[in-house]
Amino acid sequence: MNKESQLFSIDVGITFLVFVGFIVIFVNLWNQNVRQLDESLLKQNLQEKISFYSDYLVRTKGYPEDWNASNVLLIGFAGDEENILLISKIEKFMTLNYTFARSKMNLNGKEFYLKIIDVINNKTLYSYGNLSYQSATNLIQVTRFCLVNDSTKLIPSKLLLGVWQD
Amino acid sequence: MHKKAFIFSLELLVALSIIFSSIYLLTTTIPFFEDSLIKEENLNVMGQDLMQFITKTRISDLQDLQLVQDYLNLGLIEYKDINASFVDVIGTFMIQNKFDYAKNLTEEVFEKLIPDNVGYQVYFDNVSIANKTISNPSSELTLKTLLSGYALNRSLEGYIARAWLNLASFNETKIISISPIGSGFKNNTCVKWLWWWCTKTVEGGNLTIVKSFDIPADIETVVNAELMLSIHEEGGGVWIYVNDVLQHEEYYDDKVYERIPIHNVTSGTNVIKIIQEMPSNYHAHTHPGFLLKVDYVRVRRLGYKEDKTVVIDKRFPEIIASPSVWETFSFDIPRGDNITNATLHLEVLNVDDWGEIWVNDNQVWVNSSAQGNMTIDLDILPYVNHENNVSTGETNVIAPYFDIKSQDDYPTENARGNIIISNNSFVHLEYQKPETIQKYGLIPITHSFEFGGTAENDKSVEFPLSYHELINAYVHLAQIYSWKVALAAWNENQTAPVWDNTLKEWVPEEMQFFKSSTGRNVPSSIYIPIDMLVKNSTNYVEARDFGGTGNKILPESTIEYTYLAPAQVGYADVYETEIQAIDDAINRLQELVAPYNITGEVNYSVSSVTNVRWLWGPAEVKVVLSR
Repeated sequence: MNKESQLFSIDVGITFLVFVGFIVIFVNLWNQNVRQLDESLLKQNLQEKISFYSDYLVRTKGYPEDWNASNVLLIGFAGDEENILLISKIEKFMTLNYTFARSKMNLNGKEFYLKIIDVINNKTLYSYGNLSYQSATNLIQVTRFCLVNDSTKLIPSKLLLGVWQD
Repeated sequence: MHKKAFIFSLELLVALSIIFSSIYLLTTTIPFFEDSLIKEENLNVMGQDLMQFITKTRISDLQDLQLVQDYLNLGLIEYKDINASFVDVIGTFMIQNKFDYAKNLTEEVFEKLIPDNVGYQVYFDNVSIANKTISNPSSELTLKTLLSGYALNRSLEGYIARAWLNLASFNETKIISISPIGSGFKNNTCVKWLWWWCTKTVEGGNLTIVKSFDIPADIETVVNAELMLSIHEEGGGVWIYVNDVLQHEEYYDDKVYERIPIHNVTSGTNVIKIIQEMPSNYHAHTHPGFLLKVDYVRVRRLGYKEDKTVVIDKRFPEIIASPSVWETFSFDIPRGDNITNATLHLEVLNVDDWGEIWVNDNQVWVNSSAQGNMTIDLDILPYVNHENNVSTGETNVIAPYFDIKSQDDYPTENARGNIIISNNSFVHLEYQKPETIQKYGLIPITHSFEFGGTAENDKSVEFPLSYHELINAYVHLAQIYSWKVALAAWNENQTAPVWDNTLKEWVPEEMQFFKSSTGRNVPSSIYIPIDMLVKNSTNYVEARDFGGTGNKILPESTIEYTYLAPAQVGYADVYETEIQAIDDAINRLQELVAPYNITGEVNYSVSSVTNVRWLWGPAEVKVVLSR
């Protein structure tokens, strides 16, 4: 038996195993990296949408200004002043179908919830949408400070808008 | 063992590791959308909302807070202020030095709003009101808003006073300028003695100029008046009258530039008459820089108001000349003003055979058979210095020539006797200012100063402007010989213009504000567009004669400028007594008017104040958020 050639085969085998091991680790890291990138892009997309739409909700009257379920193109809660929300518009929004509202907010394929909380009394005034957001991954949430005008007084409030994609 | 093969495999392994590691590292450096960016975006939105919130939320909206209830019950916030905004109440606490109340209320509201992971600092005019720190913040956002009617360290109750000069008394100078005027140059007409002999000895004849001028009715006394006599009289007498009183009488035999003391100038309309006798040589005429300077003490009420639309007739002096007449008559329209009308009305008596009129470098009228008494009305708008009817600010010059041609230096063949340009002649101007100044508490004051130094062909002068709010400025060039001049202005922050001897103008062109369009076009009053002169800076004016090396600009050349001086002070600090408030107002007024040499009867108004906050401020409210 030629001992020299046997030794050579063992060398090759060890080298191959180390190489394969290295490849496996690399592919795993690569995949993890790609997943992070996907997640990041998704978050970016959600952040853009939520920033835009929360701004629209608290700073504009919507379009048309006296919108209702049959003619609404863009939903806005404000009256004549930015950050002062009209209760009449919020209540109109509460009656909208979730899928319909989601499409009007350009959130098709995504889930969202909206809450308006009285900050002084820490009481939820309104909640709408998919409220199972606590278990959502990739949840992007924005908090807007506003005043809700209920025609007798202004209620210092927070509007929370959360968006995610399962 | 084949050591060689083993080493080769290891090398391969190391190489591959390096390659894959590099690829991996490269991919991980792709800039992902980090959570920190999301946080920053949210912080920005939160900050904007917060500023809206603190300015729009009223105390009545916060009544459910126990602290607000306590403040109301204790009278720390009065019920009349129930509709005041949150930030107004914080401002009130701060100016009342109730810092703890401001801090507690701010913290109470901010704790309800601001998430736990966000820190904040709130300042009122850089005095900290409240803050919450977080460890290792990665981003920070600063927002500010102005709150009118608040000022720290100012008592809310007491007396305030303002003061003004009821009648302000100050020294002022008025300059009356006469641009070059002449009686006609030497007569080149051949006078035949015998058939083979003729002489050309008939010179320009007598010249009389009569000019009316107004001295303000509200002067206290005329301090000084002097005539800067700038004429050419070679062998003849000169008589100067003011209001029909002889001021000066002398025989001259050359060009003259001298100061003549003048008396009898009074408030109201005055008349100066200059008579130049027919000289034994050449002819009688005036030169640039023929000025009457009148210094007086003026007493006037505060206030300055410009009309949006200016309609004005600029009257010619009366000129009686023999045997012909020429004149340069200047007028200016401030740069940027919109010209709607410019007409010339000229009345000339005893014309023998020739007339022509120039406006700047345009011959706008000529009549080779002009005769007798003539009335000429011309629309001169197209020839006035403007671009699309907006004035360029360059001084305009009208030059009528009667019984003398503009290109000749002798009268026309038939010129005989006296020819008169009537003082019924005028330029009618209508223009509109894009913006007008209308200010109570300011006084327009006119001063002047001379260039000084020595006579030079190219002469500059420093024009320091510290606190002056200019409303107009003029150069009155003085010359014994003159032909054409160009003037430029600039300030210490600019590079001085240079003279281009080929183009015969100052470069860059935008620094040049006047250039003679024709020979002899050297008006005694040249307007400087005031936007060329900068406040709190040393400005420079440079004039160059480009007609000949002997044409010097004299040191008596003068800058005349009018500025607005303040003579009132508003309310300031609150004092415990009326006397203290009045003393403070008078002291402030005296400090204010001192640099302008204004005196006068001080008037004051004192008021008691109780929470009259709108008199002060604004204060700055700053919020810094960190995450």
